[in-house]
Amino acid sequence: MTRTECNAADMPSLARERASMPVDRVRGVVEAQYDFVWRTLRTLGLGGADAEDAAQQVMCVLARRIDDVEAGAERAFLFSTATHVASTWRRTARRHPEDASDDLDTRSAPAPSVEDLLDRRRAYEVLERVLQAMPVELRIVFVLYELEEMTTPAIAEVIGVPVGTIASRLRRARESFQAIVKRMQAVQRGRKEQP
Amino acid sequence: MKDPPRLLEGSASEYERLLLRAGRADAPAEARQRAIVAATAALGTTGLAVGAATSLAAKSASGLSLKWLAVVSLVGVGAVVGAAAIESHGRASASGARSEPTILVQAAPTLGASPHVRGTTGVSPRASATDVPSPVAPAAPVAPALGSASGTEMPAPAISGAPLPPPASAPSDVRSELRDLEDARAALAAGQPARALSLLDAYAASHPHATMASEATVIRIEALVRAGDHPAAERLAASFLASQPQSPYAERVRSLVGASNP
Repeated sequence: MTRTECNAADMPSLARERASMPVDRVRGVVEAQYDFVWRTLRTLGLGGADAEDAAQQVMCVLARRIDDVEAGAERAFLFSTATHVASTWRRTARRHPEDASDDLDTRSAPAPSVEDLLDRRRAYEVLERVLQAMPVELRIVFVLYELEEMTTPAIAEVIGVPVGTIASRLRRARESFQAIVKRMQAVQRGRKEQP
Repeated sequence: MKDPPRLLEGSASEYERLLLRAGRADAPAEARQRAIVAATAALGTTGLAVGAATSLAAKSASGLSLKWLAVVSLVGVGAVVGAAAIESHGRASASGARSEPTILVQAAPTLGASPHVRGTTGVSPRASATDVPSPVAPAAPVAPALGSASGTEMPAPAISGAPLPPPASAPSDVRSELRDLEDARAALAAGQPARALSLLDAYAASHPHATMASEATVIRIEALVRAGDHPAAERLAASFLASQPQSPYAERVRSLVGASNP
């Protein structure tokens, strides 16, 4: 008899029903919020493989704390956890060769052409370079608003700052984003004009 | 106060639109599946982990889910966590960028207070990433089996619509491993440890780059204990624990050899 069968046979039905509740909730939250966590971690500077591992870690934290997380507050909890995990990760984890995108200097790196950006990987790489060049407090608001399509009140709740602050940061974040993109494109134009 | 239109819906240039659309891409689906398994395992109850893995396996006919389910039944406590670790390793190894497996349930950072956590002053997660060495004998270094082909995998398509790359190796390889380990486990359960050891030898010979080398080692240790070969079991357990002190199977291995030394 396998251990699976043992568990199914030995566990009283009532206990099984009760036990299934956190499993279902955790599974549902992970399914619904994994992309959000993964993108948040990438926004915070973790590269592809690190972002996946760190996202898994965030979800494990969620599972262990699931009974303490209020229904409806899962995203805020995950965001808070992701920021801490990313911070710890960047301090302690070894860097992988593929995670060096944030080391690129956007001040001198030319922007790829529009045709180049039709390659989704290329577009994502450029976006990451742009985001990493933004101040982190602006970057987070920018990503949550422009990419996650959250409302400013929702972002304010997640980050824990007033809505007015979010609106201000969003305005500055957009200015920063567009300035960086323009700078990269200017570098590209300058290089094209060189003989 | 009304939110302003998002850049993608308003004033973004075509160049900026391409960037922003790329940023709305989803995470790799396999990574999400791994996280589901790891998170449900992190609930800390074997029964819960088994339930989660069973559900996953029922949802998908892929070798990935098949592996979760079978590993749980083969090894028991902690197996799902181990499986998650194996999957991490498989994914990473495929890229050649990382040479060691990653275990994702260990001790941890202490998080600050969160207004969304009831009755607590802080979050003290017990999960963190810890690198562990490669699996011990009898298996050869673990090779990738499932998972994305590259650790640098970009998210799902946002612009081109191209599908994610296929798994690094065929699910049939995993199924073959599972079948062999199930046979060994069944022999052990039937009170035939010598036959189990013979089947494990065949497994090692058939799968020189086994994905589930750690699981095979744990079963072998148990078979040696049941066969009465305590010195061999202890040697193998010591080797396993020395090379994988953070393995999710470590506690089980200790209990196996501890039980053999009354």
